[in-house]
Amino acid sequence: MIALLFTLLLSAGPQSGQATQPAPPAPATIRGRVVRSDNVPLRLARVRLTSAVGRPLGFPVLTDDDGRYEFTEVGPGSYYVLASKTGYLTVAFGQRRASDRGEPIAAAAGVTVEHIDLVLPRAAILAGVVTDENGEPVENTAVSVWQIRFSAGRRRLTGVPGASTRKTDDRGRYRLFGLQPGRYLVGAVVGQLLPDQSTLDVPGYSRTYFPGTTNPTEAEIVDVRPGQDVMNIDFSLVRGPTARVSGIALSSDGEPVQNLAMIPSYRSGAVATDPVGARTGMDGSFEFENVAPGEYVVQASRARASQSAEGEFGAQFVTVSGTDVDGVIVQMSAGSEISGRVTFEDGDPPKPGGFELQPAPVDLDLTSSIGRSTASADAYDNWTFAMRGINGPRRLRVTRAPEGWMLRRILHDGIDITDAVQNFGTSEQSMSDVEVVMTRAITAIGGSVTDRRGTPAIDAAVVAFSADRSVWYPGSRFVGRGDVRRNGTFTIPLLAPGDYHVAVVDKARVADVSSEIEDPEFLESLLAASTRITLTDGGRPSLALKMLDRP
Amino acid sequence: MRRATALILVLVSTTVIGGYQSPPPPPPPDTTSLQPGTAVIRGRVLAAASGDPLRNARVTILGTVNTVVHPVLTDADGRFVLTRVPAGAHQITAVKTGYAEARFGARGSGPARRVEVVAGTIVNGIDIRLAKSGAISGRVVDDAGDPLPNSTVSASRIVRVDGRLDTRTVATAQTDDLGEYRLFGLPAGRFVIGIINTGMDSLQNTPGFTDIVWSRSFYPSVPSLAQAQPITIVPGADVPGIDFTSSPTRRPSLSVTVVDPNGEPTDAQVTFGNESRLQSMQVRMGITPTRNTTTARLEPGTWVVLAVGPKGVGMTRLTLGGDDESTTIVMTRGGRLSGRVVSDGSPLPANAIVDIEAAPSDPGMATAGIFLRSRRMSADGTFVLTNLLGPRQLSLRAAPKGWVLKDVVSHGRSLLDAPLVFKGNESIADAEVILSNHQSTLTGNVTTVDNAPVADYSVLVFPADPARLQHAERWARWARPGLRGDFAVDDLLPGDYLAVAVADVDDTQWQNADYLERFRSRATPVTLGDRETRHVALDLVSES
Repeated sequence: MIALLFTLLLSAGPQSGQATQPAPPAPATIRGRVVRSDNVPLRLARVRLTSAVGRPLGFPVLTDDDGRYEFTEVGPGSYYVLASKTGYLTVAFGQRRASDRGEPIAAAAGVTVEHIDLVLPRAAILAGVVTDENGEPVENTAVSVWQIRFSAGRRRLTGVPGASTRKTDDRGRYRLFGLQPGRYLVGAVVGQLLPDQSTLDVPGYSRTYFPGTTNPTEAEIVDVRPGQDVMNIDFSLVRGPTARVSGIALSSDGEPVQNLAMIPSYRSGAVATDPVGARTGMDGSFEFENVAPGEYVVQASRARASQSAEGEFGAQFVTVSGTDVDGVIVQMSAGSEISGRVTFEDGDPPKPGGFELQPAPVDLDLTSSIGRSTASADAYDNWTFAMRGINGPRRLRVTRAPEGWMLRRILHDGIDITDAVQNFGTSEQSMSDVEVVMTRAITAIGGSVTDRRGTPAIDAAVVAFSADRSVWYPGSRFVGRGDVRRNGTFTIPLLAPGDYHVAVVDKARVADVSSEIEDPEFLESLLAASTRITLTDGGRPSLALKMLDRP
Repeated sequence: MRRATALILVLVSTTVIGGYQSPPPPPPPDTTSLQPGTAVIRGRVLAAASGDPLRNARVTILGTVNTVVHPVLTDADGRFVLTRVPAGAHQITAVKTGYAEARFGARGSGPARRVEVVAGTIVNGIDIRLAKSGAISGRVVDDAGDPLPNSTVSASRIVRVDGRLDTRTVATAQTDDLGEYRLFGLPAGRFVIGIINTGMDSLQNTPGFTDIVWSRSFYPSVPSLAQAQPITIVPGADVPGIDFTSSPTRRPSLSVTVVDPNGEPTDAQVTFGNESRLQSMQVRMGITPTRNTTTARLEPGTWVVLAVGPKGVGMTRLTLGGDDESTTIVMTRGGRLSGRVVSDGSPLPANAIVDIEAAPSDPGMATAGIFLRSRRMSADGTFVLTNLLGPRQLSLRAAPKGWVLKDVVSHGRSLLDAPLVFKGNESIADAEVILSNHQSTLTGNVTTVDNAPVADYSVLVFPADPARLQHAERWARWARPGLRGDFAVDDLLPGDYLAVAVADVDDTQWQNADYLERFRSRATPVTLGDRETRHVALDLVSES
């Protein structure tokens, strides 16, 4: 047998700047064992160390035949230890649930930290058979799982980390493995051209979700418990009146465009699904195959030129009802420019840097689902900024501010446009005199959270949201959250002054608070048990909050 | 702007070509419709064994026209209608779950029967018969018996081309969390099954594991193709239990030192090639004069090491066992081949891009030589190939559409019909690369000895010259009849040929001299002049 243990040097990061020390600190050792839930050692599991922010440190190591691993030559510092193996859930030392980061290990100089043992639960299995409308098996359909998440102002199907697409065999069978526990939609695709994989172009079938619907909102949610084998998720593909959508896409200067995608339109209220790719010709012609009935938007975009410049963009709405839609024209526009300067109230401008301004998209139908990233402007040394190629309705947002400063207001030609939606796309819609006013009067809502017994309520988050429902939009400076620290305290920094509701959220019940606070329905559900406060300019209120009992 | 336009189908007067086979199926209820300038192809998909119609079979047209002609599914009676078909000769293919994909009229992997269509016509009676496919399944485990998930297993047909054994991968499958895989959709034939990679291969980037590889093998856990035990698949076969065990084995290191003819260290790009289809790893790295030794971790086996640099080219072949090895490559100037590109008729298009390649014809060297660059013809029509070493085959890497390599001639001798072997410092300065944009055509029809026309047959056309028979890919063709029962081969070089009509051809053997040779005594000689089209009437001969 081959020796599986070896040594490596890790730099612990923050401590590395001690140039005056004549000798480096003595390295630490971290060791432990990885076993299955039934205590059987797991061989060849991969163990790695990460920093507090999840950055991998050094190289992973592998466990030996007895499940043992060892990191030697570890620089003094604080580490998280993670273990993974195919077919098992990835676990961090001290982790209580999937969203939890685990407990950090303090490795002091020269010390050996023993018994950092991890138990890897077996991941769940989801299996079944995909048939056609006659009940005959269909091979090579791509079966995946999705979750519905609220993100960027929209309920959307999102992929599941660690869960890969599997194809059915000649008996129609599929088997998805390595699944985290969760509530999933199961779907099968045959025929559509997917951007990231080739499947046979089979006409007449729509993407079908278990137990046999093309509409994700009508799909049955499959509840996968830890380590559970969910078998017999059998369903038939829906044969439907699919159609072809074709047309031509042209850039602002009339050049043919090949980078296209089609998504169900947001306006139709549909759950967003993955974009569907098109067959494109050198002359700018495009064709989407096997499109199920529905409201769609065809988007064309050009790769962005730089961090501060988005590319050209064009969009066209299409209604499909079973017959081919020809002659769709997608005309791109070059986009507008936004330029201006950053000014600082009551004080000298800080050193340049640490500032970022973004034109946040407001209408998802008019926002590229393929080019994806939004432009962001750093300020130049003289605190001016410029962005180019901006298309569609946007709100200007300060996404990063210099230490000790926050946004006061944004002015254009002297008019306050803070939080207001602006339309961009043409050169006439460009803005050349935008003033971003920063203030030193920074706000912070802080305090502590305790449970009924008066002990710190860790594993909770606090959400603060404006009393004005019209500002509950994604990325709003009137909605914020802060995790409760181990000592029971929390901070929600940099909210705009105004009236707020503040509520405690139990993270055992709400897995992804950062995504949920973009959902107005979620904020509405917090209203009843919330505390009302007024946040003034530079206000730093401190609240003593109680968490409701866990069921 | 939104415009939803129903497809307007214009019915034009049609000529129906049909009934080339016994009774044409009744026309489907709808879409006997034609768009101007296009044709319609109709037919059925049937189970080969029973003749029963197959519903929901996917039918499509092969080649670039499939961007215009959309695939269709057969109806409950197995019928299909392909619309918007441009005029021309097409190949039609069908597939259905549980059946092996088949092209219309093809035997195995051989050529399909061409479906010739004329604009404004409807072609009926294109019946495609699908045989049940086979499946092979098994499990991949490590030396401790634990499953190896995410390993890739392949099924490959073994074919012989120009006397060399070659594999053609037909299907691949991934193992699941139990280490189980299933290869499906297999046509009848003999397959070698191999692990292409194991789920542990990603560990090779992990320190401490760079010298370890989980062994790859062919069934039954043998390292080389020659030892592999093929699995025979008949229609509908389901062969379980094709299991593999993969153990961690040490990868020996090979240190390569590159020196010039004076023994001085020199720059080079070094590549490693292995002819086994499971060990096709290439490593590419530069050597600087200060660091003229490079080390690679390679799986055990026979490797070709190729070095190319400013001081020329060098090559060595060695077999690695379990131990670390080192080798020194002495660079030579290599051979040089230069000359002109000419046309055999009409001039080449202006600004034509012509790339000429001297690819290694040794399979191990070919794998190592994938970074060998082809050379482009200069504006004045000249070209130069340098650093040539070992057996090479001249070919065209790029040429204007419709142009083929007719010959490469030096001193009245063709450089294509015998292998060019370079040992270093050779120079061939006056080679003429002759391109052609028209080829000779052989057409014909086939009758029985009693002069009755034969509708279904195969024709083999092969060179009379036994030397050319060694280059079957260049000189030999297999044709199937079109819809009217005649055949046409339109891409032949001028020369003396033999043509023979037979009922069936072995699709794994036909591109080999020994297979073609056995038809020589029964074949009809025909000489094709430059740009000539000749017609022959052939008798159907019995097998061997």
